[in-house]
Amino acid sequence: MSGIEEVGDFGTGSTAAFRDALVAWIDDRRSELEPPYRDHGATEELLSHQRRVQRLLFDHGFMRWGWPPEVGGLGGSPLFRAVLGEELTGRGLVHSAAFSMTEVLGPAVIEFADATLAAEVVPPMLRGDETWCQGFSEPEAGSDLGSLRTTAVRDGGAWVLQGQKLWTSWAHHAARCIVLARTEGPGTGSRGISAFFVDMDSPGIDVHPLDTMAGVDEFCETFFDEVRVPADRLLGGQGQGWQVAQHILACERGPIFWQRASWLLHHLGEIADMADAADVAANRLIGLAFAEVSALRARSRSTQRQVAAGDLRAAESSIDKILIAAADQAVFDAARYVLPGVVELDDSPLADRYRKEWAYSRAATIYGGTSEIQRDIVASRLLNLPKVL
Amino acid sequence: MDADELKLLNETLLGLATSERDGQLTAALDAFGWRDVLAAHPEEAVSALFDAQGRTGTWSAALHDVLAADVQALGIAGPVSVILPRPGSTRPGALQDGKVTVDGILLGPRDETAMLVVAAGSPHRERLAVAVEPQDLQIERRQGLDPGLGAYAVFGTTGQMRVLAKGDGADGWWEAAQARGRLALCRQIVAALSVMIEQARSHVSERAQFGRLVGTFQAVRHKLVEAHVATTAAACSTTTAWESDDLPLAAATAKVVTGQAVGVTAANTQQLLAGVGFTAEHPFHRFMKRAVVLERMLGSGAELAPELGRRLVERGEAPRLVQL
Repeated sequence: MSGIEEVGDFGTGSTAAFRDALVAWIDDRRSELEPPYRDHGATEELLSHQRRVQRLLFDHGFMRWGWPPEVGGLGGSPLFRAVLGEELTGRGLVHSAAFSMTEVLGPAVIEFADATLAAEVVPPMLRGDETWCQGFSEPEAGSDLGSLRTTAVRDGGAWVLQGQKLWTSWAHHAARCIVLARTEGPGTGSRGISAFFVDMDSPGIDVHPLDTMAGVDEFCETFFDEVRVPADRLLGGQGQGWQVAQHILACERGPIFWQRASWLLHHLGEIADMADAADVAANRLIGLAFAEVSALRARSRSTQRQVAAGDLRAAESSIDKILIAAADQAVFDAARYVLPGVVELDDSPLADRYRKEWAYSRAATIYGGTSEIQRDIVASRLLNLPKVL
Repeated sequence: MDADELKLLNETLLGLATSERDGQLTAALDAFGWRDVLAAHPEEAVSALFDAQGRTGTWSAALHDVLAADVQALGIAGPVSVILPRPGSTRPGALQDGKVTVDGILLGPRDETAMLVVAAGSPHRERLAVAVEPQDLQIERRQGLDPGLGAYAVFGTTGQMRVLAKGDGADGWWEAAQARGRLALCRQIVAALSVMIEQARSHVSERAQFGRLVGTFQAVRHKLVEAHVATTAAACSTTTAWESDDLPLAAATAKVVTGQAVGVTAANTQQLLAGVGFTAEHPFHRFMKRAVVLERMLGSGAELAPELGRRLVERGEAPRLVQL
């Protein structure tokens, strides 16, 4: 593999050494890493830039540090992955949402897939050869994920999937999908759910992109009609789907939140640079948004260390989710004020970028578990309030 | 300071804050050697003492010691009292014609010590840190919202002052002192808010209405969670601020986050404690008033948020206060 030597050996190294090498490398090839578009970027442009950058990072080792050698990684602290995301999104070189994909689904496949399967599928995902997607939500199962209706029935050496998924981000560009399906009868709630690693080119899968209110064809309706999935694609055991889903949700609060916070600081810095220092109302909104993002980072830092140590605390990370959603909206609300009329009335590349980011931030309190569900979790599991009958 | 020493420090200071009667804590801290610990381990000393004061609802002269922690560098021996700006202003002193006019606040001052004042004024935007003697100013007791804080209004004009620092030196001293003072206040406020949250949690877990515990209503649960989340954010911001390369910015940020937490927590816990929390008998109001008054000192969140934003706008960037 070319180029690994040039970035050094971080197997026992500190995050600071990794960061220094990474920042020097980024500075060296900044022009190569810059997105080719100045506006938000259409989904195809955004993902194709993401793949190109990921390939570069993989070939030079940076995308491999922090991942286990069994799946093509180079080992070392998983915190390296948080640093990588932080430095890239913090310069606006990759889009925060696109850069999340490896972290959303990679750790769960490593944890729950058969070792041979993980060794086969994770490296091309890290190298940017493939995009993956997450088939959790359904028309009747959003916050109440346990009520999902997609079924999987065993038929010889395969499972047969039948049902519909909704809000599957980038399913129309994805090569694989982690699908949650019911393997026990209705009424078994979260206990009767299993997780499957599904090839998106399997016969019977039909994908319809939907536009978000931001005008981006990001998520999809995905239909499964008698889709046969080999039995060795079951993640964990039968009925372990809920644990897989919990693992994915907990991992989302690791490096993804860290790079998202960096992405928010990048935008806040950009608007601070454009704001008028004499505008007290603008200063106030920027100051409050900065306080929210900084508080999130102060909170998330300990979560990063726990996730890196394999100590996933789902209930405690609900606090991180509540904080990041509010910070996200505060930053782009501040942006909308500081750039007067730009989001609302302009059609410049800058306006396109901020209009779409502002619109996307509206969903921050909804995706990955709504803020209301998070509050329910904190109330029951951290504050130990009396059980709701 | 290792983990055992830190545990001992926390336990000792919590013990002193719990057992000493009002007004006696300062003497007990002096006997313990608190100012020596502060000089050697500022973060640990401030965190331990102000957490203890917050949890027990006590107060001492320690804020003066924190603000004046580096006062030897200005050529004056401690202990001293430090005059705070009135809420809404940034300096307690104004300079004119070689005299200083003071209009500030003392919280739980030490007796008979020199008083430090930062002041600005003419000519040429002069800025000074000066020491004045108590007898040269008027000092009046103020009961205020929270009599236990031992507040005094200090005012008057005097030419009797000893100049300790000038210009950028005076500004730099005050900026560093305020950063430490803000983190001390944040720590105490967060501890007080945690007590209020626990009081409300305990109440809604025992109180039944409509045949069910009120803590089973989602409207009630979410209000308490909002307080807990905001207070957790304040606690994390305060704890990590000490590591920052830019302590003044990190401390001002922590004060803004803490100000938000006071707003949410004071309102929500009061609402959940309902009628009983509105009585003088329930301890809630003592903690709530303390949090509310301390939040106003050394810049409230409402005052510091635009100031924070202005600093970012002038720099043209939003820095990372906490590193991985």
